[in-house]
Amino acid sequence: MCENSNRVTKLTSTHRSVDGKKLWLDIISHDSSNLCFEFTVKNVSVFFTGKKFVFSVFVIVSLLAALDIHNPNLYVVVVLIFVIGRLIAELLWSVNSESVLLVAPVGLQLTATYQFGRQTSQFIPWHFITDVIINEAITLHRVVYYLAVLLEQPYHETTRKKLIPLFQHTRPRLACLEMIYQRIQRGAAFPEVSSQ
Amino acid sequence: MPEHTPAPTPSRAVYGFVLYLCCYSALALYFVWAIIPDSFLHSLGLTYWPQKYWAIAIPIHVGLAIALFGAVIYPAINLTMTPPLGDLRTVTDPHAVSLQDKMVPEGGIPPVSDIPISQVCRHLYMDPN
Repeated sequence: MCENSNRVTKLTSTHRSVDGKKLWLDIISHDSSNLCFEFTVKNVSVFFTGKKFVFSVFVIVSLLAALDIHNPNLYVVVVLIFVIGRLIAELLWSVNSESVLLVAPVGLQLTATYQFGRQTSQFIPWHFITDVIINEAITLHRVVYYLAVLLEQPYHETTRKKLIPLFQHTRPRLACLEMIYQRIQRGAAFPEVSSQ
Repeated sequence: MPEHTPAPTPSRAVYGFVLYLCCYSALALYFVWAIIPDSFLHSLGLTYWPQKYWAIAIPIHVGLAIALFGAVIYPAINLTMTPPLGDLRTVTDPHAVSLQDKMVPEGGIPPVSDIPISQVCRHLYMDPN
């Protein structure tokens, strides 16, 4: 399998997310025929040495030092609860990297890796997929380019279409998306559905 | 049947001038009421005014309502109307016209239709090689 390492090729390039954070894009092709790709978008900065984490720890330590246990000040306690809660939420729910594993006639697997190595994944079977597109849409205060999988559920009386956006947490910019899009379109041939 | 035009007709000019005079008179009356002390107004015989508190309260209420609407309620209405990223309304809508292949005449101009998103993406983002 992967011991034949001259079959497995990996290309790494640096890009930026929509917010300006630095990202790595790894394109791994597990097979010399263009049937199996893995695209991984990773945050460059490690969380525990980042400015936000160090500053949060500093704030928590200084608030705890200013807190008198026997006669606590209400405002200090409330702010402390907020800062600690925000730190815990970031530790639990901030996404470190997202990857898309494409195996041509089997399907697509989307995996999100959180802090401490936890992973959640979602699988899309191949015969549901119509196409992978780059769409642009409005969110809150800006227009965002994102890769999306166009699905159509066949074998229903009324075929229902769906759009699943990829890389929603680490949002790479258009240059990175174009690279992934071209690689996918050149590699895999999607079943064309006549009515779009 | 009167014509509906935005042209400045004489009657509209008269309405406009009356409105302009009323606005300035209302502003002068507001300042008279708000600034001149009650004792002076009572000595003139004008005793039946609302409380001067309202000269401050009403502008503040109106300003706050405008700020609340413009900064909170109106953006919230807009946000509830934008479809999420996974919604097909970002790509198409029920009024889209798709081109059936049999409707394209040979060597002729195809009728007006919506280009499907896959074709659009291929034209925009694939480099020609």
